[in-house]
Amino acid sequence: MPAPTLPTEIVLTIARNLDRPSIFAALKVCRQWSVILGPFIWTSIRKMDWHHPSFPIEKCSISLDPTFNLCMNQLISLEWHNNASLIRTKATLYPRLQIRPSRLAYFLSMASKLTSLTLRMELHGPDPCLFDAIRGLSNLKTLDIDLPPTMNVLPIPIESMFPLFSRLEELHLQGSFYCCERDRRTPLPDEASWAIKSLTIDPIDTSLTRHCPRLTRLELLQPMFSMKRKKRLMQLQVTRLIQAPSSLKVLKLFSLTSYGMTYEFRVHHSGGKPSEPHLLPGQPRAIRWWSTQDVVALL
Amino acid sequence: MSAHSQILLTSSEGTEFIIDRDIADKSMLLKCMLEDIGEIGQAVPLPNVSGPILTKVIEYCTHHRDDPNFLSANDDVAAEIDEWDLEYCKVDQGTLYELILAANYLDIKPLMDLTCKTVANMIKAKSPEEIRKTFNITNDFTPEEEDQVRRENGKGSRRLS
Repeated sequence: MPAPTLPTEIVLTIARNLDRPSIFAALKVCRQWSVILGPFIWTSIRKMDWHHPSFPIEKCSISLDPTFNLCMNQLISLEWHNNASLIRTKATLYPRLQIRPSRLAYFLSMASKLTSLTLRMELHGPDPCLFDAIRGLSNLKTLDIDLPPTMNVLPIPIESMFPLFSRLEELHLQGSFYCCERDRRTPLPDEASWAIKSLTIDPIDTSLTRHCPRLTRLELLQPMFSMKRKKRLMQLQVTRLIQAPSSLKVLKLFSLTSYGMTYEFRVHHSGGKPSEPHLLPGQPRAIRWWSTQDVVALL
Repeated sequence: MSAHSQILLTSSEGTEFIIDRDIADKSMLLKCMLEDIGEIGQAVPLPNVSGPILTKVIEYCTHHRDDPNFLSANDDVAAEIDEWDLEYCKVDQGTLYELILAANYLDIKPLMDLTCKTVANMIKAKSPEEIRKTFNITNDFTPEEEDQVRRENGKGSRRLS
């Protein structure tokens, strides 16, 4: 018998049981499935999708295609990597991977519902469009950006993002970002605050924690020494003071002892007696704890 | 309202089915209907469901009659299908499609999940062409669109070699 056309909700229920490669294959079966499954694909784009030969990225070249705009409107979560080491094998290296940051900026400018964005990329020149597009994503809850510092790209001040993401709960910044406050010329007003609960940043930007009163998880990355200016600053500030809000529950530190640095850790607004936490082997030892009563886990 | 009361259903051909109330309650459509209007002693017409399919649906609901987890929606996509259900779904494709439609119409979520999962398993790891063959779907893309797909696949396979 000829396949009866299944109602949309049934095709979607079936699709929910499929893995991504099967959905990509199903997209090419017939027009009806392609129309129904298109937006389904586009709610969440994962890292490996870009490398999949059947990922319907050819649509991206048709910038004025209204169905494509519709697709981007569905987008809730996007992962983008153009780091070559992330490509699994040579076999999955597909020519369509070469999408320029300006094209990505165009995608993002349409993705008004986006709540989760992961960007791991190398920029080969200043790209204000991309950052303007990111700044326009006012619904973001999770933002994870890793931009390796390059000579051509000026670091982006973290403060320039503060007023923009009022719903942001998770922020992971690595690479070309800096906190203006570290040079004390443009300090943030004390009351400036983010709703961030989970923060992952360069150790030199720890002063940001003062502006995250709801912070429960803090991770400090390996310090970046690739920039001369940063290096000088790091040496100047041999001892960092982490002022964390009392809501902090999890602290993860990269060992800095080999860099001759120590941390002093102070929990904001808590007058408890200092106590020594249990340090796991291989964890940073040069931490002086002022009060740890609220820190329950050291990962 | 006695748990042992019986409900009369008529399929699209007019065949009558007498089922126990607790079996009818597996269908959200019937459950709500019976709760709203009460048992009026008349047959409930199901014009969208044929006799053989209704028999099959009743078989499913009867088997899962005392299943305490029947309605605790099983959204776990990776969950294994149990043996009885697996055997139950070994029907021809037309029947499977009609079962899906009936489960959707009667609003029996576990049956809907089961049948959709079965179809999904038939799609998995197949190429578009194989999927078309399996489900007897006509390829209605234009030759240009097809050509574009083929050219792109060609590019891909050259890179592989």
